[in-house]
Amino acid sequence: MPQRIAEQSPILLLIDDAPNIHRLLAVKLKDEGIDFLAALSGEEGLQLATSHQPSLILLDINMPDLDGFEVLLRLKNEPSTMEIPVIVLSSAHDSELKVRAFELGAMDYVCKPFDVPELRARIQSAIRLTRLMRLLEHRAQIDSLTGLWNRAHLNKRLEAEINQASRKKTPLSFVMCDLDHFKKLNDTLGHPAGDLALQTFAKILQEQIRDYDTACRYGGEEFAIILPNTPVSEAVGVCERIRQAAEVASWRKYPDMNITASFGVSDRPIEGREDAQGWIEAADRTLYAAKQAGRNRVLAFSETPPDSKSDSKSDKSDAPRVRLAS
Amino acid sequence: MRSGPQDEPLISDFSDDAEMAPLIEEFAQEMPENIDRMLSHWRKQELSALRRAVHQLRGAGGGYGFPSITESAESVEQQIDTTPEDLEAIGQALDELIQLCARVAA
Repeated sequence: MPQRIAEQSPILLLIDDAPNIHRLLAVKLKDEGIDFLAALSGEEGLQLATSHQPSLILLDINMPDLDGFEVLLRLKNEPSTMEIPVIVLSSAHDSELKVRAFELGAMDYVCKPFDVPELRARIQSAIRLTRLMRLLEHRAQIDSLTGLWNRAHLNKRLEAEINQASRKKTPLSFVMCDLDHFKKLNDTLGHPAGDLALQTFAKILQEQIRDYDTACRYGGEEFAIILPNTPVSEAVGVCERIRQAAEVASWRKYPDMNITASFGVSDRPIEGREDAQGWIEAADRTLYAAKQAGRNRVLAFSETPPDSKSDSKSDKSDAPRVRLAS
Repeated sequence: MRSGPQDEPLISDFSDDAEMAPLIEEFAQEMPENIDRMLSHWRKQELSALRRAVHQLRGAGGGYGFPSITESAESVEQQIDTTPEDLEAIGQALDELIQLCARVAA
């Protein structure tokens, strides 16, 4: 589930080949509430950036072997470090170099010898800006009604988990689920009741999944769950627990309200589409089959996926071949 | 021997900053080593290594309250960058920088 962004003290990585710059900054910034990481070469700096994920990097340009521009280029080309803000420190004042640093993705450029109060202010400003950007990015991926991740996050996360699973050769399960007869519930009990049902279902999802699973509101009354490192049989078990918990939920304000949900579980994409969309499609087809089969149930994707989910309403043989989960 | 400003100790602009005192002391203690390194590169005509050593002083000098070291280092660097063949000019600029470094006092 979405976590609050932790307010831990920021880590600053200084990459500079001159030890006296490290000493100077360590003393001058000691009251800023910043944890220091020191790298005396570009190579070491790249390693520490990847392993420690600092909040900010101060990067010297003129270094032997790997110079600052090369380090900056590599930082910005590596997915795990590309979003870390970099302030370039340099004794070179020519605007050509400054422009080059900004073009390579630097957030700021400070000339050496630096004025300490100014550098302090620039560091704090960069940290503040980054924190704000992360907060906005985080908020933009949260569904305001349920507090679950939203669809934008799902797409990104699913893509990442698919890559991870294929790299590590671990199983991955993906679930699409949907509240049954939600429209009717809204029509008979009103939208506030509908909202409450969605919030309750979201809470059940969060309670039943593990820390490393991701639950998202896909849209409307549709939800999705990513279960990394989980074979389909185990994912079916998780969904079954969610299904049962939803079935017995009750509300003091709406004693007549009850909810059930249908689940489509898949451990693979549809044939010929290995991306996130292919996985969503596979789980979605299975969900559709669960609906067709009478709702309030968990189904798993068959090994030979059907070509299309259309026209299966009237003709049972056209429905996706699925096996009953329980 | 001449006497005069050349022999006077060079005092950091931050000498009254208690926080800076131990840093300046360390900076001063490293000076003989820095001077030796620059002279050694100079004798072997290792211009890129010399430039690197000078560059480090340029970056640090002002930060430790010795802006004249930064300025002087900058002109050595410029000489190396613009006229690497003019060893006399480089030598002169380097000589000025080393004079300054030798006067650094804690």
